[in-house]
Amino acid sequence: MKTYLYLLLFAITALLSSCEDVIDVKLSDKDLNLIGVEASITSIDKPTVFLYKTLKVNIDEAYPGISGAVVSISDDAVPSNTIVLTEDPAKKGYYGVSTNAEYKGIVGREYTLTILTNGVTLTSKEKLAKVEPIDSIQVMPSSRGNNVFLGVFTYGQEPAGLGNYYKWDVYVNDTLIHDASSLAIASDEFVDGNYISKLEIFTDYYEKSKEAKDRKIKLNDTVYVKQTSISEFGYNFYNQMINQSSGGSLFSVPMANIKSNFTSSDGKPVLGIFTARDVSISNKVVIDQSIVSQLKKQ
Amino acid sequence: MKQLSIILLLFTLTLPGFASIVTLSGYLKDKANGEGLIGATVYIPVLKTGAITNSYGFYSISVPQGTYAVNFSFVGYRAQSPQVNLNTSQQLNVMLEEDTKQIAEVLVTGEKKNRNVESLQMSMEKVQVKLIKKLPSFMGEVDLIKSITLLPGIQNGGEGSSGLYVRGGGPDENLMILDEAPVYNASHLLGFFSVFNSDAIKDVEVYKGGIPAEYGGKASSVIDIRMKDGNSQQLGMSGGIGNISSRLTIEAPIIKDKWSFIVSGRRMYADFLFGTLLGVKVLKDNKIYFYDLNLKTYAQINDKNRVYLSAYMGDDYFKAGESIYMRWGNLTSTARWNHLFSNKFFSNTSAIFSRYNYNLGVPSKGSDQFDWSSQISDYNFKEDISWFLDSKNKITFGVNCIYHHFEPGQMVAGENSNFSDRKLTNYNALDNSVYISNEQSFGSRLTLRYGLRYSYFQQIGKGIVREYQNPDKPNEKEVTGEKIYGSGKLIPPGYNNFEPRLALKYMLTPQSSIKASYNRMAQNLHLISDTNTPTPLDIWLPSSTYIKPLIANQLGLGYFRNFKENMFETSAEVYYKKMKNVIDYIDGADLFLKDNLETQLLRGSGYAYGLELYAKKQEGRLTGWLSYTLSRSMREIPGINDGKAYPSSYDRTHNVSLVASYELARRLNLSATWVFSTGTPTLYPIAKYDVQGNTLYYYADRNSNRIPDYHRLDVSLNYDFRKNDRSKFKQSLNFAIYNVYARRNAYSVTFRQNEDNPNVSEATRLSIIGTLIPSITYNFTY
Repeated sequence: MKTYLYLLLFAITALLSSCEDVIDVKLSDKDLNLIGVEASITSIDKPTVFLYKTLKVNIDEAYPGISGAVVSISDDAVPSNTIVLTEDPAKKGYYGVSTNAEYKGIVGREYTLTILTNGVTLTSKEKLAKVEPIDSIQVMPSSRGNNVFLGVFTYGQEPAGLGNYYKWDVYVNDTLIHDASSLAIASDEFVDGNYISKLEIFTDYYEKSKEAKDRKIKLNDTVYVKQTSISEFGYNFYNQMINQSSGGSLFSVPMANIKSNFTSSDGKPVLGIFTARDVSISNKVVIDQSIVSQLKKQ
Repeated sequence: MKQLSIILLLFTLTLPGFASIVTLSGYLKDKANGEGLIGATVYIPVLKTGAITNSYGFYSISVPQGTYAVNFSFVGYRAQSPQVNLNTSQQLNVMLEEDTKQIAEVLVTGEKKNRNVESLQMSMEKVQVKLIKKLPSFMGEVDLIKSITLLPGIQNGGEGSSGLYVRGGGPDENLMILDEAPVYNASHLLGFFSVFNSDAIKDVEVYKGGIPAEYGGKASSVIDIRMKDGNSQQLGMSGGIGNISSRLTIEAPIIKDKWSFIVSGRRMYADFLFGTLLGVKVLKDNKIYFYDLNLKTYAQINDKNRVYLSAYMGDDYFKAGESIYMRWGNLTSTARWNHLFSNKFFSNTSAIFSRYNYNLGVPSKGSDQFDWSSQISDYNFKEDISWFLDSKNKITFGVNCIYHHFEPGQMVAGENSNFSDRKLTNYNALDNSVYISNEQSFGSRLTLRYGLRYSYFQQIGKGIVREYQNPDKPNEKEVTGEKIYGSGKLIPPGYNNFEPRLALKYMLTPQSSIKASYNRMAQNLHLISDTNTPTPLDIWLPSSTYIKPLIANQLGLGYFRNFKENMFETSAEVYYKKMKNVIDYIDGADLFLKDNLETQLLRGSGYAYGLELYAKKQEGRLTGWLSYTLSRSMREIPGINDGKAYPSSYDRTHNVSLVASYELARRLNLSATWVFSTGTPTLYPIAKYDVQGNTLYYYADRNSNRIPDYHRLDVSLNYDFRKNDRSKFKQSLNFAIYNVYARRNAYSVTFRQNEDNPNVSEATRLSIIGTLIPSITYNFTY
């Protein structure tokens, strides 16, 4: 519900176009040399880890991956199932499970990720919670004032019992819509136990002048959604990501560092996130003429 | 025997100690409309003693029997000096006539020319409404609250933020009262305008320090706003039509001299015009508007009794197509009874009601429908007595009882909606205080006001108090239980606070004086909000087990000096303020629609100090003032910035206001204001990382950077159609430009990845007003 509200409030401030421009700002020259990790395990994918060094803000480069780390994942079963991830020879810093080995996330287990690099040990623990299977999705017109855009709507039951957190990943032609401004997350705080119908998780909003670049869902595209479970930590993390990306509006809150769920043996902050999620894949919707023509009608 | 009695009689008459003391009292009013004049001066030169009128225009002065020339004066009015034969106590009501020639020249001053030197009160600014109407306005609306920010020591966050920061204190630390009723959210339209329609307002007094004992409840300042009572002499109308709003005020006597009323309304319209001028993408089904309505009636029942009834209501309404609507507004009403127990005992009894509420929701009947509402209401009884003991002592005392009722939030959703009904815990609190104070003069140079206020605050049931494992650090995951209190049951703890108040003035010469003051203030209502812009969704919470009262101790010292027979007024004031139990928020705090807000708060201390320099020219064709403030406002909160002190969001190192008004011709007046302020503290990132293909930033110490400085020039040209004519109908045209050199003052600076190249980060500046904004307003009075 809060995400919904943030989106709405954002829409209000979007109305006040005011003036936005890029300016030159003097930034600190110090190189903090912190470690960043983006790691994930799901019930349908093998675990992946990207280990890298953070950069100074004004550097125009890709993040340098860190090689030679010892990366392993284990669960809390007795006896524990552990696997060591190996680095992809073609992509520095990327660690994964080799093609002939099998290791997928199991619902209800708590996973521990351990990374040993340059004499420092990083650890993170996440529980893989069950996600209620998604009923279906629909792609329909969604109005924003005078204009109409395509929106992705989900249908499904929210199981009773507080403590469920969701993240929806929207795929267009098998490519994830990854922008922080499109992050769709929710807690069951205001809707616990209800049947959720027509929940708008994504609006394909674009400015007329930038349609070619910004519009994501077009005729003949295929759209599907992965409804995933995230932990309470993940929910707060993505919430803060949304805050950071919508900063610079009238309702923005002061910037703060987003704490990661990693601890480092040398006490230095580690940036990033480790998620363990259960996935439910929705039906595929093909954007045909009947959907697109509804846009013109309004 | 007869000779002896005559000698004795002569003896008693000549010995000053034995001469009878008589009291001269009464009301000073405006001859044209019967309005009581607040802060006017009554002065007897030969005795070197005087008094000033109170908020109702009443004065009382006790002197030895005799015949004296008594001087009645008020700035902008022709003084009168009748000879008064004071053999017995008597009432003398005086009607003063406006001195129209002076109004154009003088902008903001006190009553006597050297009042700033003579008056005991320091750190107080008086804003005379009719005189600020000539200042450049934003969109044709002269805003009282924005004008106050032109005074030293008072700042705000720029456009989009109407909160006032007084001497480094936050926007919720100002007691803003309209005819004694608190106004909880004084901003329209997210901070562009305040809710005060200057056509309905008579007087504004802003206390930054040296706060008298009769005021309490907020830590940093008191903004005491008084409505006009209504013209008791004849029908009067005034109004104006501007770019974005129109105003109309009607006032008239119901019984001449005895019973009057005033109705004043303002409505913003032309949403389209407003939108276009501000660059708002106006969409067909959108609505943005606000309105204000002020009502008041005043009746003089007899010589000793007067009754006032005033009310204010105003709303903001915003609707974006069928997607969302937001409505917020204030309602206040005050009933007052002035009673003169004797010519030395003035009493005011008030019953006050104030409510602020808002609604937010989605209007459809479908799955996303909901309505969220929240409110805070006050029921207040107040009794204030002034005892004009003698010519050297004026004692005031009184009692104030408030019942606060808070409803932080309630959600109501329809059957088809995805949302469930929900209610956050309500709070109720008793807020009581008593005070006593004496203003005493010692000789002709030294005046001292000493007083004590005692306040007691406690929550009262119905209510729920959650219990945590560690009550000093409430943690959402460590709730150990909850205690439910029934209706009317007192909820511990109660907070007692003694608030001593001290003010001192020592006249060095008739043109110069030194003043000092000390006040201790306790604040028990806390605004929970971490956004720069006051959003209607900000919540007020009472002091409780987990939220302790904010205590501020302030010391001030000032030197006041006038030059060239009071043509120039100058002052230099320094202050130091120490605050205890200051609230700030944990990193990444979630304050939105949340119960158990105590888990998101951190508590610590703060301090602020500064130097305020002020110079004003009051006479001549060119008038105006220059104010410069050098200050610091710091916070020290365990859990933020590793416990190290950091600048608060209200810290503005340099602040300059230059206001000038020049009378080009008899009917033409040009005025300009230029303001400068050091940029708001902010955070710049020192490293970046990536999640899901998005650049995220890592920040340094809290508030260790500053956004670019803020400065702006406004000009306005005012043309009076028939000034100085005897005609009752007066018109004027005002043409103004806001932000003349079109500076893009930054509201915030945030970092984002470049649209085309995600490896590049750029600093984006958001300016609320990025261009110059012209406006034209037509004003009339009848």
